[in-house]
Amino acid sequence: MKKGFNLLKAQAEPPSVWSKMYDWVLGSARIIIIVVEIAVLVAFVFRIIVDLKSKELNKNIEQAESVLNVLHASELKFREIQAKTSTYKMIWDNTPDYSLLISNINSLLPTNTSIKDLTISISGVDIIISGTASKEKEDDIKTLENNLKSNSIYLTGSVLEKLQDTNSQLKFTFKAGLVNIPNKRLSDIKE
Amino acid sequence: MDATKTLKKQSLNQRINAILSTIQGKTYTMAIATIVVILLMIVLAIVPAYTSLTDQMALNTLKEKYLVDMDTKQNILNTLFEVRDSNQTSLTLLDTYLKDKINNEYFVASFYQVAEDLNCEFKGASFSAPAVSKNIKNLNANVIGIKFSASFICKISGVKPLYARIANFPILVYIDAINYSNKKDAGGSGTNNFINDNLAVSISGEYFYWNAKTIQNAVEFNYE
Repeated sequence: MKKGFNLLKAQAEPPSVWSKMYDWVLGSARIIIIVVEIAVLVAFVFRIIVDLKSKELNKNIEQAESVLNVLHASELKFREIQAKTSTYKMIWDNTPDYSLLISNINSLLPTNTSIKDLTISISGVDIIISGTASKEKEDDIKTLENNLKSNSIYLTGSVLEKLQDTNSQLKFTFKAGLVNIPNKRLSDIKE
Repeated sequence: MDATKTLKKQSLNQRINAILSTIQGKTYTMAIATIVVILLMIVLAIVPAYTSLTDQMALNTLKEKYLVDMDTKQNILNTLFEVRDSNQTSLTLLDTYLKDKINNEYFVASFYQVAEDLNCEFKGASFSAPAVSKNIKNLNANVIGIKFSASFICKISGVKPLYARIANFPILVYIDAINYSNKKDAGGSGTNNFINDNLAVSISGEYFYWNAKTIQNAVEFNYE
């Protein structure tokens, strides 16, 4: 049989709206639906994996929580120990140590003097030294004052007040602030 | 009515056909329809699936962190158990030195003993009711202070050791005042020699105890 060319354009009925829609559904829309289905399927598989992991985590969390519940009383005790330990150190380290001051002041007190009723009062950040001397022995007061002013690194802003009483006695009061007072140190304590 | 509807329908079909009959119209129409469907798929399928997955993953991340934190806490507690066991002696001493109750008797006995050791004489002591300490700022709320004042008769050579022994009691003591004087020479010699005279020594301060509950009812205590 002899083959020939047919150069005539094929005659067909023009496509209706619905046939074009049908072509589109079978073409582009199908590809979109397939891609979306693949994406949703992948997400679903991942979701299963993630859910399994979540379940395992829940189990582990439950176990850990039950262990910690058992240890709760010990935890409270540890917290109390920590609070007590830090408090102990805090109080110790914030307490002034007047030992050196007492040694210093005692070394500056006159041994042979006419001063009577000598009183040393250390309180907080102040020191008051008071006493009585006969009017003739006023120099003893001056000597004490000079000793305290020139030989103590712990005194500041010192003021000497002298009052004459009725029996020709001089009552004096030496007031000063305290500086350089160290605090106690827990590390200095031997076991 | 039906005829009007039919006419309208025919007219719509004709217009759609007119649009789709050209290549440009067909292309635009298919493109718009494709985009609309893609958007619908994204909004109705992809986004919910993605959101559900990422939400669960975020939740899992939080759970993992929580689990790690709990593991860390458990490890720390186990370490603390070991530390506690290896420091049992010190912790027992801590409980002794920072007792959970008022301990005035200990101080009276200690004052007496210290005075005896230093050839001094313990004259007496008074203790205030428990109160929150004002000497040290930012102190733990469970720490309660009891102010005390103790009187001694001592030589000058004993004043510093007396102070030092009391200040360094293992039970926490905050000494805020010390007063010594030969004004009332206990020996009665009245030599006015500060070195040889008996001095009236007064030491005031505060000691502390640990109260995990509340401040107890105010109780004053005096020992003479």
